[in-house]
Amino acid sequence: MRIAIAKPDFGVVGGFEKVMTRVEHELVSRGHAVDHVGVDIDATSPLPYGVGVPPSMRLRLPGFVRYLAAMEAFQRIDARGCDLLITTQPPSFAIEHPRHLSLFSHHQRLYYDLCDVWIAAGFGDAALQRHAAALVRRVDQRHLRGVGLFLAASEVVRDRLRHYNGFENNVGVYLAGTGLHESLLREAAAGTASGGYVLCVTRQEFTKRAELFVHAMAYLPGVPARLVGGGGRLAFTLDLARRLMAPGADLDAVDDAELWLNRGILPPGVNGVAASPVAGDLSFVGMVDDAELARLYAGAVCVVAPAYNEDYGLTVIEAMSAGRPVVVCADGGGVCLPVVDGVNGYVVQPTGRAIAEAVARLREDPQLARSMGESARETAAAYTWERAMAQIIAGVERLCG
Amino acid sequence: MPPTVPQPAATDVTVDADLDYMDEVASRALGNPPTAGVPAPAAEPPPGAAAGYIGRAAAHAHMGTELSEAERLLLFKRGVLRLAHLFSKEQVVYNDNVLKALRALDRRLAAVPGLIATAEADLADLGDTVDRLSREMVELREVAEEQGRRQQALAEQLAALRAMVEPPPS
Repeated sequence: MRIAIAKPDFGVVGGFEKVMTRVEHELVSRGHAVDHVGVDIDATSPLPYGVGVPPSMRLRLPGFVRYLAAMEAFQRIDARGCDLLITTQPPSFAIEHPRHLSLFSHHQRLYYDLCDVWIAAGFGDAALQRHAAALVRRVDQRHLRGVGLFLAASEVVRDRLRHYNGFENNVGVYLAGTGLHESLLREAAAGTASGGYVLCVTRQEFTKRAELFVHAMAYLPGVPARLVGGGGRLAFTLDLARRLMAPGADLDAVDDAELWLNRGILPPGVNGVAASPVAGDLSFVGMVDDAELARLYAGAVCVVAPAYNEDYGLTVIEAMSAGRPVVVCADGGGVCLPVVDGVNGYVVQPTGRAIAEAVARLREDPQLARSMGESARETAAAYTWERAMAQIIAGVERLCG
Repeated sequence: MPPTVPQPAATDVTVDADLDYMDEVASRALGNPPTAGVPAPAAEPPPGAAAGYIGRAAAHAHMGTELSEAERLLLFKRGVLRLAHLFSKEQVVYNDNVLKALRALDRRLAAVPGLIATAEADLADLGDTVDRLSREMVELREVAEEQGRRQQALAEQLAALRAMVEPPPS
């Protein structure tokens, strides 16, 4: 078969791009020809659908204009020469094709499940954002009805498709394997974590909530911790860590929601990331390569994943594959899926104190941490690329008969 | 029957150009023709777009109170205008001042796209700077780690040399 894979080009290579590379290899290895259909998001029309854009719109809601411009670009793509169309991130689903498989990673979440927190954090005008959400949902729905089969990136994404779009019968799930190579994870699992540090691996962006990890570690003075990952909120998080870990800081007076429900702007007079990104016993490690990440997993007593309402928990799966118990928050969405509370990790309330209590339990009882880590590794063993590819190939066969 | 799409809660949306734009572009994305009465596609107005309108308004700001010598019925019109002057003299002042305000506003508006472009360029530069600094930090960390390793190796060499030249403590 000749298969077209459609994808918006954001100019970055992240986890989803790696997933698509594997999918393409699998399809080619099965004798299919694969065409790429891309839209460069930075080169879309400045006047989507030929409507003049008020200057204020580009300042107040630039994402809306860009999204509609991308949608128009995908809508114009003619993929009828291919036997099967596979679409990926929104709004690539706007391409029409009689055999249309959507590897549905997520909705354009600012107009769906993240709409309210986006507004609450002060990122945009509430009336405009809600109006935009209503319109985007209507436009999306028109195009999503043309999809023959959805393979959602997790059960959480599948549930969103049911909730927001009413799709149920034509929705399956594929669960990606880990980003780290198996051999690295095996080495990490063999590592001893006795007396080790507490680890958090996350991009420091809105809704990833590294702030809760920082708050938790402020409750545990003397306990070493590592925060891996960069991002736009790095300087804000580092400043927050220094304030919370300063002598006399009243940690119980801190409102956890306020810690992360904001735009991540540094207080006046505070400069960006310092030369030595350390606060108390917490080190900001920055971005690391796969080998270094595996080494960090190997030395961790547990891994905290505090994000809000994730699509999927790739880092949680990786941490569990490395034999580390995880601590996630009850409102974490996809990060909670593989975690059985008290068996292979802890599912706690989204507060620094609750995370700190779970971490303390694991640090004070190394035997408990080891047995939970072993359970975590057993759970994660099911998350393989072989299974993910089998799920995707089954979807292709279901659609193409 | 297609499923009902859940919608966000209704809000006190104020009507303004942004909302009109959003409705129109979404309508077209849904496959509808352009809404009647919506002006033809036009990008942001060019700088000083209001100047033509202001010029036309300025031509009538004095409400015809200036007459040329070539006017027909000149004496009669002068008489009528002298009478009308009792009512129009303050209106003329008002019109002149409104025109001044409009011209000032037009000049300010003309400068906005430039300001936006400058702000966007500044933001892009800022992003590049952050990326560059992040890269430099990684490089510096690597250099520091390498220096640490060298220092450790030198210390070990030194210890070995000392052991060779210094007699063991009795």
